[in-house]
Parts: sequence; structure tokens; C-alpha cells
Amino acid sequence: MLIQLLANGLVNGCLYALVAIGFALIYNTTKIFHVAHGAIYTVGAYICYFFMVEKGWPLAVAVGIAVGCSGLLGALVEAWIYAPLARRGAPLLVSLLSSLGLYVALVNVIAMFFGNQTRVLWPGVQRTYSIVGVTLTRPQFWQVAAAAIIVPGLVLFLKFTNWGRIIRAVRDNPTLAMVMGINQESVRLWVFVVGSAVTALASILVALDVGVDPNVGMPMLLTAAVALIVGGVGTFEGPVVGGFILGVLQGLVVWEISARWMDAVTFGVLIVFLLFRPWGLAGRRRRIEETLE
Amino acid sequence: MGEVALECRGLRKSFGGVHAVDGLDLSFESGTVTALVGPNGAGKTTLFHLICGALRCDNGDVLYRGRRINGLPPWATARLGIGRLFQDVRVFGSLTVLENLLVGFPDQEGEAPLVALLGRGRVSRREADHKVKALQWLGLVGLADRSSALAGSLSFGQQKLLAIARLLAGGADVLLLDEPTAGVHPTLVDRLLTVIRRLAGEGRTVILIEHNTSVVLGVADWVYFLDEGQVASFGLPAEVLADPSVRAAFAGLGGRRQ
Repeated sequence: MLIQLLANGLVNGCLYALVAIGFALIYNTTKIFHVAHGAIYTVGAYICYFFMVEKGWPLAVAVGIAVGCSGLLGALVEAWIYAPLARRGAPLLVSLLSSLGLYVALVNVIAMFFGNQTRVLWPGVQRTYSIVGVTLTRPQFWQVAAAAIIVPGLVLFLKFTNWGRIIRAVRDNPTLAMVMGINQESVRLWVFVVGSAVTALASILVALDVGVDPNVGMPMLLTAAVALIVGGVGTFEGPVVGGFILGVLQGLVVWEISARWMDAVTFGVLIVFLLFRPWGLAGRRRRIEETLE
Repeated sequence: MGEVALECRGLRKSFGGVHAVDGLDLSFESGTVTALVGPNGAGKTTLFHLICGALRCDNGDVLYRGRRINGLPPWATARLGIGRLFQDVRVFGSLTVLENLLVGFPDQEGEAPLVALLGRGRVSRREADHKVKALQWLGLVGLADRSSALAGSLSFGQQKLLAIARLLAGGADVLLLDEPTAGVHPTLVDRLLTVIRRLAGEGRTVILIEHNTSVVLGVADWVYFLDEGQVASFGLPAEVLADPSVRAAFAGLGGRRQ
């Protein structure tokens, strides 16, 4: 039983890692606390539901369309909301508030079209795989596979390509990046596209397993934000580690106490880190001079 | 001497009721080093902001090789060849020293994500080439042995040298240097001045803001003395700095205008 719950925790960790790296990509680069990321998480699953269940299109096509549309939606949010605000020099609090408003609006639009009940994407009993005493459903297996490919891929991309270096440069100092000839607006746009697409993929894989309702986005967003803080704000590998820690701890709590305490674990971990290691696991303590900027 | 690389015509900028830059007409020839001197608040740094596009001027024009560039955003003027060193040191703290330089190279094909993924061969050859050049520039400022350290872990003076090396690596045609020698160890100042002279010798245009008269005398071909957003005098360094009113302003740097 323990091993099974630990495995479930690791699978959840894979999902948290995917959503958290998408969120971190956007947060680290733009410093916007992108609450609407949670709505994009929800929208991705619903687009997939629409094409797969209501239109009866093949699964792969529906997933492709949903991931693509979510990337596009992320880009539109940046182009129509955040970028105009940034151009006018609005403080980040304004971006946060508009993001919150957008989250509420999007979730309500979804509820308007699809209702508040849980929608099942893939009815019937799923095929399961058993390896060394651990049983995983087919969607869970895909969740692990997706995270195993995308997460290391993104981390390596950010670390070793020119483009990754440019993203890290904008993260460190957008003004300086701009005087050095880096078009910050196009970098931000791409970051939103990639972050949103990755998040949508995670939500679709969850929805295939347990279905989707209009309110799945917010808990996921908060978990991703905690994963980022635990792992280290400003880093890209940190949130991945943070996501896995949260997933495994939640699995252990389900074993020891009850599933109702899962959220308490998430925020308990957050409080511990804020008290004792606010720069996170992979984060770097800053020189006093840097913090003075 | 050379052709005019950069020209400002009737440039004006005010903040509230204060005329920071009040009708400046300046021209800078390629292959020369021009120093801007003047008391605090004379509009020197504002002028740099206007040239690189960080601020928009209220009136007047900035011409780069005859082309009007005011109104362009900073990344666009940077791509045209206008490089800038900030007065306060700015580096990418969590990138390594080497990466700080690599970001500065122009025409990075990696900027189109698809090219970065598909054209790895071409990109990595270019990358290797950039690395060799970057290490040469780091050697010049004495940071070659720190190339894999995080830039944020360097001392203030080292970060300044890194910022200068990055600017040089960027291959800018016009260099705007805001107090390049402030906070740098005296032995490195000489090395820096040699580099600046060499850049001008290669035909680049160097414009520097400087408070140290011996640096101005040692490196500049021309000097503009600015006061209250206007050109108070212009000429050879020895002539301008010999002017009694200029000397009075220099002597009063400490707080006369506060």
C-alpha cells in the first residue's frame, strides 16, 4: 500500500512538475503572478473534451488542437493584457489583479458553456499496467511519460541553447537585455506560448484520468506556485524538484492520515520554507548589493 | 577627421518644469573619443537615455549615420550598433561570466526558437567561435579565469569590468560609456583607457561621461562641457579644461548645485 501511494505521489509530482515549470517559465521571465495560468489549465482540458467527446474526433487530434489553442490563448493574454500594461509602466500588482479578473471570467465562461458538473473525457474502465507491485492506469502512465520527456527537455533547452540564455538574461535584468538588443516583447510572447501549452498538456492528461470541472485550475495553480517557492524562485529546475516533493509528501499523508489533509501538507511545506529557507532549494542567496536594486 | 557617426539636433527633454536637456546640438565623428563633462544635473546621463531610446525627447532629432533614430526602442538602437554602459553596474547575476558575454553577441540565430532546435550544427559552430572571442575579451579585462563563475558572485569592480567586456564583445559601433572608470582599480584604469583608444583607432565612436580630468585629458579627442542642459563650451580637452568657468564648475562638483 505504501509503495502504491508513493507511486501515486510520484505521478502527481510529474504533473506538478509540468505545471510548475510552465508557471515558472512565465513568472521568472516576466515577474507576473499569472493567476490566469490556472484558467488556461482548465481551458486546455475543456477544449480537448469539446473535440474529443462532443465532436467525436480522435484523441490525438483533440489533444493537439487543445495544446495549440492553449498556447495561443496564453499568447493572447500576454499580447492583449500584460504587454499593454507593461508598456504603460503599470506596477506588477495591476497585472496580478487583471490576471485574477481574467481567471474568474474564463472559469465562468467555461461553466456557462459546459456546466459546473464534472465532465468525463474517457469513459469506461481504463487499462492498467502493473510493475513491481505498483498499478498505474493508462493516463497515469502517459503523465509520467510526458513529464519524463518535456521537463528535462525544457530544462536543457533553457540551460544550453542561445534562446534559453536569452530567456535567462531577460529574467535577470530585462532593462539590460533590452539595451543589448534583445526584443523583450517577443521573448515574453514565446514564454507565454510554451508555458501555456505545457500546462494544458498536463491538464488534459489529468482530465483523461479523472475528468474535469471548471474549478480544477486554482488548486493546481497554487500547488505550482508553492512548488516554485519551495524549489527556488528564479530557477527553472527548482520548481520541478518542488513539484515532486509536494507530490510525494501528499502521497505519504494519504497513507498516514487522510486524503483530506493533502492541501494542508502543501501549505505546511510552504510555511516551513518561507520561515527557514525562503530562497528555496535550488535558489541562490543574493549578495547584499543585488538586493538593494 | 572621420564622417559624423552620431548627431543630436536641438534635443530637448524636460521633467516636470526642469529642462534636463535644453536644446543640445552635438556631433560625434567616427574614430574619435568625445568626453562629456559638467556638473551633476547637467543632463549628461539624460542625453545617453535619449540617444539609446530609453527616454523619448520632447523636441529635436538624434541621427545615426544620417538616419533618424529617436523614437526607436532601446533594443532596436542596440541592434543598429549603439552600445551602452550604465553608470550603476548591471550584469545578469545568475548567468555565468562567459554567458553574460555570449548574450551580447549580435546576430544570434538562436533567437528564433525553431532555428535553435533544427539548425544545431550551424549554431554550435557560431557558438564555439563566439566563445573564443568572448574569452579574449575577458582576458583583456582580466576575468578569463572567472569565466564559469556566476556574475552575481563577482565584486563590484569585477562586475564593472564584465559589463565593459560585454559591451566590447557586442561589437557596437557607437559606445556610450557612463563613467567607465569610477570604482575601477587604478592599474585597470590604464588598461581600460588603452582599450578605449584602440576602439577609436578601429573607427568606432566613443562617447564617455567622465568626472576625472586626467582621464579626459588622457583619452579624449574632443570635449563638450555641458551645463544646465546646454553646451557651455566645446573644443580640445586641454583648451576646454583650461577655461576658468569650467574649472570652477569642476572644483564645485562636491555639492554646489545640490
